[in-house]
Amino acid sequence: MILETGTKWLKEFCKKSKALERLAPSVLNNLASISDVAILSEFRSRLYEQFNDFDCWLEKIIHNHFIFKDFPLNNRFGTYEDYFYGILGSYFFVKFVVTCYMADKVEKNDLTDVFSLLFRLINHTNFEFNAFVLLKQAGLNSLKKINKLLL
Amino acid sequence: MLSSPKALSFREQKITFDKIIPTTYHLSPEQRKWLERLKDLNYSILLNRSLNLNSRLMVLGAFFKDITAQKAQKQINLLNQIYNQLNFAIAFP
Repeated sequence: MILETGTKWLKEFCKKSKALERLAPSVLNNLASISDVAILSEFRSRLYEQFNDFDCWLEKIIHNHFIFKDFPLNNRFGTYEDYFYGILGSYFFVKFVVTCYMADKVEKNDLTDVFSLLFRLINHTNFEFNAFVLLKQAGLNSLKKINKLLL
Repeated sequence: MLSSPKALSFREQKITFDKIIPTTYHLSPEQRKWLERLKDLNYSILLNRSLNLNSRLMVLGAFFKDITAQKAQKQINLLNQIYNQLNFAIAFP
């Protein structure tokens, strides 16, 4: 589920995003070596070993994203539940791309680059709404189902 | 100020560090208070480091789902009640 959804989204958003265009070759190259989710989990574990504070950084990035979007005072679509799916879709995509991109890298600079390019796409487009639509299309419309996307 | 024919200069404006949020100008003080409370609760869930980040997001999802289901918009007491009764079981599947 994670692999299919992540790859589909990457190819979907890549078409119109210059930021993603720069990341996509490396991500797709690393994705080619992933045959099942177990390997993706291995990449994830390696990422957390390399950067012990990864969760803390990601938390700060999401926090900053909320401030940038001025949530909940501004820029919200649908109900609060709908908006949450948009947030979770963004979180899933960021984590998926970062995990795949960093699979063959160890530098903190590379991590910074991938985050900045991803948030150039997320912060400056209607990404959350698109993510919400894609999740609904995939039938991921409940907390239990969406749990499967958490890497 | 915008309709004034006089050109604007920085000297004519009071310097402030308060953030200007144009889209909330039309909101009533009650609505604004409700949204501010929601913002605080949202951050208190997101920044709760006793849970891992995935779990925090699931709790946030449960919170938003309850707000939508119970139609808690504009009711600060109901919002607080939903927050206090949050089921953290979703964070530990």
